[in-house]
Amino acid sequence: MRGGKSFRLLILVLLSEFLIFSWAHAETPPQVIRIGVAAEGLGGRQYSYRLSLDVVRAQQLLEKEFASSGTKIEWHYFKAAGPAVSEALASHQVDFVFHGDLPSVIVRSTGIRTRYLLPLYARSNIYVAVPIKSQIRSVADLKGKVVSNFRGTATQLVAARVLNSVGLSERDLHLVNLDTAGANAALATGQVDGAFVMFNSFGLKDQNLIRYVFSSDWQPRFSAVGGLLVTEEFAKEYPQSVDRFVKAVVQGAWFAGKPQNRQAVYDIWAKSGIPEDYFVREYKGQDLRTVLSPLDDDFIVAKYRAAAADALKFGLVRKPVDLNGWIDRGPLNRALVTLHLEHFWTPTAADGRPAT
Amino acid sequence: MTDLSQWAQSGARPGLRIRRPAFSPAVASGALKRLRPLLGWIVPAVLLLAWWAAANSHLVPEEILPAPATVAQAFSTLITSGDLQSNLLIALGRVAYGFGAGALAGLAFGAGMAFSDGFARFVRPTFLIISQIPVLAWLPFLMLLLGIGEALKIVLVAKSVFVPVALSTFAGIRGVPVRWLELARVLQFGRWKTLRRVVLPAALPQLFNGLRYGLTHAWMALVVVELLASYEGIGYLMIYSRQLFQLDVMVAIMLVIGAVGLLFDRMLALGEAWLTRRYGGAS
Repeated sequence: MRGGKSFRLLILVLLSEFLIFSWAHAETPPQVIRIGVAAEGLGGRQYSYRLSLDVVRAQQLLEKEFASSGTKIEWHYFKAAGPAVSEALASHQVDFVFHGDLPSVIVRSTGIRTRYLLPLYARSNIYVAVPIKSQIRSVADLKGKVVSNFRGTATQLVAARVLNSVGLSERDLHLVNLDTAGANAALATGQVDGAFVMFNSFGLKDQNLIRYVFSSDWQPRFSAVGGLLVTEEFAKEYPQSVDRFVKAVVQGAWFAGKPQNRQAVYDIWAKSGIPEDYFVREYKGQDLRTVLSPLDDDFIVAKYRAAAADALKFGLVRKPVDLNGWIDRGPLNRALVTLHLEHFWTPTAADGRPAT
Repeated sequence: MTDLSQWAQSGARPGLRIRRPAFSPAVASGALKRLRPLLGWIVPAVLLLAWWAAANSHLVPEEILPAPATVAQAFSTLITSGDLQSNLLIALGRVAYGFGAGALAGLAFGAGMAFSDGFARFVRPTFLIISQIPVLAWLPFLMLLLGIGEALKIVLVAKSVFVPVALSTFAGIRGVPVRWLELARVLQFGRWKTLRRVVLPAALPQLFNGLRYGLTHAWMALVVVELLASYEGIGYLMIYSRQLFQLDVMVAIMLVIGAVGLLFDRMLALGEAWLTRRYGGAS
């Protein structure tokens, strides 16, 4: 009986040990999770577009994920985009943010402590638009002209690369800082000689007010990327909530990556007020599985490294930005395993081609 | 007319102009008297100290409040690169044009309202409506009308000068004591002599009140316009540093903006003192 008694004691000890262990590791979920999105819809609509995160919002994946713990999900959209979101991060107003590559690098350079979790868009396109009657025929013609660009956002960096590709720099132009809506208005009324814009300017082209003298045609080297960041503070206190958050975002990207859901994704993006037709035209021939891939693959890492290097080269940050230790792959890898999605996406190599 | 003149008086903000220090000579004697010009620098010095202490003790994180030394470094970089000088020069040029145009128009308009009741009645509602719309509210409309070039900046600066100058010119001239005008009539002063010897000296303090207030407004309006639609200028430099989260540069430029504003005010104060000596003050 002696042996049985000690066995039972052992079981008891193990059980209590397990209870203590799991009690210590089951975090109390936060009462509220605040999400900052560096974008806004047309006319101040509180929706963004071109992100996998938009699917998450529309299908309330986070709200459902956190319903059991009573966590409130707050969505904040920032008209002033990246720079405003950086300020919100600095003043502890948000826990998770969607940030483009340049603002992410800038945030990293200021010493605000964040972790990079996964991309929310992995490909983008940029256009150089000029008023329809303009004499400007190419990017090189922009020299000495008044050109609009959205400063401090991922677009600024892409624009600098486009200029660099024809041997120009920002200093060769008169760059006016205008947001997307402002740039479109300034172009339409001919107040600027040109502008770096996105596909939301298609309307002006349709009205024959502008024409494009450059399109990046989805070339990876001109592509910006944007991803999900979490504050170090939040990640330390609520690691399990970070995992749950990332899982919901991966679910959104999964939905968006299935070919049969293409139309549904456009419908979601159209909540931003941008006509659905623009998405159809912009993303024609592009696989949303690639465009919205959540993988922290070589391509993404190379993109952020390039962003840091170019930001320094073009004078947008003043000292080298160290990205080591910033990307935290743990939550993404766990989500892929939990959802059995390890093979849904193909990793991309640094040059943008599928990795072999 | 009483409502307008009362409003004009309040609009001219007498508080902005410190006429006589409220120290009695008996108290402020000897060493204290010599220290008097330094009194105004106590608060800035304390603030600087508090800033230094807050940054040094990391009470406020560096990413929110850069340390004074970092800001000084940013300031010297701005000077070395020439960015500060070139952008400040552009901004000052805009203020010069805008202030010149706005002040002249304001003086003429205010004088017109003061001298002619008919004119005052004719333009009063228009003037009130225009003056009630703030610079920021004019901006979107004027951007469509004038574009985002120099004209926009100069017109908005001129507007922000025009209103206070017109109001204080009106109030200054209307405020000339009736007894003085009666005396001028008794002495058989002509129209020009009355203006030069009676009206101008009496109205001068009020006029300068308006000009100083106008110049402060001009500078503020310019910074606002440059923040929003610009590719050069001091406001542009500031918003550019904000977009790139270079808070040290941003704070350095804020200090420059404040310093230039202070300099403007001092310059006009000297101008007023000179004119008062020349034409005889009467307040």
